[in-house]
Amino acid sequence: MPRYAMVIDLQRCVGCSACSISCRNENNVPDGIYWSNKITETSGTFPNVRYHYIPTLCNHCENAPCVRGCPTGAMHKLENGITMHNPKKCIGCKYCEFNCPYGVIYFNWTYPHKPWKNKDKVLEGTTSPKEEVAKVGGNTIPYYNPEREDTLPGIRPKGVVEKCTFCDHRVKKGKLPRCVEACPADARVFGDMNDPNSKVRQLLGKFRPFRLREQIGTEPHVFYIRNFNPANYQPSKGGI
Amino acid sequence: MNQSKTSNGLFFTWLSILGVAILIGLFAAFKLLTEGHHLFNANDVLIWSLPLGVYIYLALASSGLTLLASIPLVFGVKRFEPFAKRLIFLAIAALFGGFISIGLELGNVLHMVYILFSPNLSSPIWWMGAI
Repeated sequence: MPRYAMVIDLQRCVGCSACSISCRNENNVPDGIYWSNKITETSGTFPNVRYHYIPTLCNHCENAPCVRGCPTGAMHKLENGITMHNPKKCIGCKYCEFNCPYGVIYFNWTYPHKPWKNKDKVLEGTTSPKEEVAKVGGNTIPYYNPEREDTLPGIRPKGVVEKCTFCDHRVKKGKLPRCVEACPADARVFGDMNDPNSKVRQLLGKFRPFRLREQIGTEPHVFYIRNFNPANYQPSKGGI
Repeated sequence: MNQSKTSNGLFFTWLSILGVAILIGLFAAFKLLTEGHHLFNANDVLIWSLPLGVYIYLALASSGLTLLASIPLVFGVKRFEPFAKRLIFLAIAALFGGFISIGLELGNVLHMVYILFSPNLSSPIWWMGAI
């Protein structure tokens, strides 16, 4: 059985957020919920400043704390290493959200995609969001992706959690996750950890990877390699 | 005579204040039961809110009351016999309050059956819920 993992090359990543946008399109993710997210950080004081950008997603940990804590087994591990959620069993206790050290699990507090249910016209003579949705089939959002229904409800109902699934519906069909495919800089590499010849394993051997909060022992399977720093400075020994 | 009149007036004032408070309470209960947990201003950082604390308080109070009720009922202490019935009643009432507050906290109460059908024994919250 394969063990899927992702390598994110921070030197190639330009921080364009194409991964996040494509993820929203693929998985019909509502507002306020981020399956694909980022950590940004600025350091220093002007003019000696630097901007850091780390794309994040569910780490699909080997020892997943969310799976361990779920009282009903709604959050579970698939055989291929993907941490998967079953909204039919989810009671909405949010313990997984509490346990996740990375904060990548989100709860549906209200009915998803509320703005698209608005019946008011945007401007006089234009259509309302609700009419726009009705024009293209009336499936809650105009950009609804029916392929998501293969393994998960197309739009998760109110009162359950949701998170990144490594696009298991695409992986099952032999396709790459949407964020990997959409990345314009090829910064995301997806593959099988158990196959010694896979690209993921090659990259992990070639570079020294780091993972987020490695010290807590969750064995995350999203690896980060390299870093990009365009800053330059005059060689100097400093001084007193 | 005069005294009873003033106390009567006070009585109705008190009753109207109480009535308004009860109406506000019923409105709040209706809002909570129809709209749910996000009214407590919880978000993805503060994920657990007021009803969970209330649930713990009421559920544990209920088990404490049951323990107290067991003194006359199980161990046959005669001195506590008059309290037995009301302790049991109070325990059941507290338990109902607890169920309502945990219902407000959970997103999907109807899926509670999966606690029985698909238990995860490594989960601390399963043990808390089951016991």
